[in-house]
Amino acid sequence: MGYLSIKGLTKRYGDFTAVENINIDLEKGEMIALLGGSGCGKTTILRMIAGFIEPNEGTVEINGQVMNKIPAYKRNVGIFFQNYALFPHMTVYDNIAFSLKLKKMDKDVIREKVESILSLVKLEGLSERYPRELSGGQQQRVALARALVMEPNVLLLDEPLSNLDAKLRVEMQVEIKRIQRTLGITTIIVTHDHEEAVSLADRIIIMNAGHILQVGSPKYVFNHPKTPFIADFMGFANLINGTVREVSDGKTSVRTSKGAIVNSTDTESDKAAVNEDVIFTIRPENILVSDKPEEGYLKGKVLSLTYKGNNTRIVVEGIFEEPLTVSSYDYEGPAAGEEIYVALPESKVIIYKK
Amino acid sequence: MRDDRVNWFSKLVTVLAYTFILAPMIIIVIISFNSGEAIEFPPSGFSLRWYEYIVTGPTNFLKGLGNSLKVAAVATIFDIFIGVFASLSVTKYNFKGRGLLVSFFTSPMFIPSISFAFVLLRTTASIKMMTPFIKILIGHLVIILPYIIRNTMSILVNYNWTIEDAAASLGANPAQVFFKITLPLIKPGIISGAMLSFLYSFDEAVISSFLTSAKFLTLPVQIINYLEFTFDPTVAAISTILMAASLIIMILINKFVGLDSMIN
Repeated sequence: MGYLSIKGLTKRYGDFTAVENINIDLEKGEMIALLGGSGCGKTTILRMIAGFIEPNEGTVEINGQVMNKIPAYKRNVGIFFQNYALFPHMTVYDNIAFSLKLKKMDKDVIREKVESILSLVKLEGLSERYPRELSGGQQQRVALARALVMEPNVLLLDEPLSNLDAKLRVEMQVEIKRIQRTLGITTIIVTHDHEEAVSLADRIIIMNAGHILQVGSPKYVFNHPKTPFIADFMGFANLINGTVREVSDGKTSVRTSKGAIVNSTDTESDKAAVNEDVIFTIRPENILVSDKPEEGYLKGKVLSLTYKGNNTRIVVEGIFEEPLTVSSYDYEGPAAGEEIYVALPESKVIIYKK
Repeated sequence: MRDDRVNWFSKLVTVLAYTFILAPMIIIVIISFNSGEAIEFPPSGFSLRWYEYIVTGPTNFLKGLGNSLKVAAVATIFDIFIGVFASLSVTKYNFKGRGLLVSFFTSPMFIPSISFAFVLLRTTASIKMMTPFIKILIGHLVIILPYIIRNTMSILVNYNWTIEDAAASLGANPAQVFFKITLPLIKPGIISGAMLSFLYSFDEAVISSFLTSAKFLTLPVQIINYLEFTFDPTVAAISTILMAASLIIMILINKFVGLDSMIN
């Protein structure tokens, strides 16, 4: 049994079930990501762990102690809010020292702790500022420092990076990971960004409509989404219909409605029988492109090109019923409207039964 | 060109409006220092005799002032408690009939005070133990409550309730959350509401004159009674003192809370 143990957690609002029968176990020091779209129930779970709302069924246990009847202020669960929720009438110092003052700690001890946490989040020298005098990234680090300084048993991060620009986001990802590792705090991070979840967490939990869909290591979930829904959520972008044509030792061959043949040797894929209708998927960045016909390449036409820094997103039509999204590094191939040749590597194609 | 003309016109309107508001006040101040017997402008000479007369004259204005301050202070303090908790509950919790409750709380603002005074007079007349002080107090409690509620609510509608959750997660119990977080943040609304309420109650004449008795007169009622029979500058002297007091209060509040927060 884990350090933080959630068993059969269910929350209903009238007829609406926000989350149902959620079971999660976290080891001490582990960082887990709850990944899902808005309204999937991930924040509801966080609020039940923090003690702001009471579950209808199930228990939250921290270190073997059932928390259900313990009010939020006695749980020692640190929480980072999406909107930071800093106290606007207090300086950075007073915001961070808030929990320590409530514990009636010695003034010098408080000063020492606040200063050391300020240097951990790299905010030295800003302690006398008010939240409104700080940038978004600084406010966020104050919020993180305020949650960390109380030395919480469990740290909950609600969309910690959603309000930041891209550069700051990457910086903060590294920071959060570093701090969490340094302090060894059991952490749950809630996010709707699969890249954030993959780069931060030891394990990922994928949720939809109040249920857990898949649990696994970032690498596994990233490469082996269990359902087409998860695949879509994890950035696979291509979900293509077809019919199984042939199955022979570990290799499944699928024919699409336009006649193109795609093979898969992925061992984790669903085992579909011949003539069964299936959906297959592949990551845009795993598709190979060429500007001339080659062995095993399919011919299509470039519908659109979108440059995203070094990566180019190419939408190809004419191969399948559905347009195919390809992501290519340093792309210098055909322009929009021109012919293009693409290959779907067998080992990267995942097949789902319908 | 057109902008210039608008600018010129708006300047004129502003000057006229200010003159219209300020001129009578200035005239009252000047009249209060008149050495003559009557309210006259320009005054016939300078003296402080009417200021003396406030205290030495036949009407005990100091007692009326004391009564008015007492009613205003007690009503304001009571209503701060009622108003703050009412505002908190209608903004924090989403329940059926919430809008109705808000309208109900603020309805005294829209009911003509003369009708309300009459109703209150009829209702309280049959209750023997009601002293004029309690009657007037009840009337004022009702009519000033909207000012406290509206001012407090104006802050609470934009209030980020998550910070209360944040405080709780950091170990603050409900009382600590209230005193360390909620109260300091809604304080400007409470202070501005309380000040408006206090001034309204202090100034109120309709309800007070309906519910008053010879033994318990408030200052505005005394002034009205006085003016009925006497036409000397005593009332101008009282008005000057009250205006000066209001000005000092405004300056103090601006220094400690900021008048900006009252307007927003």
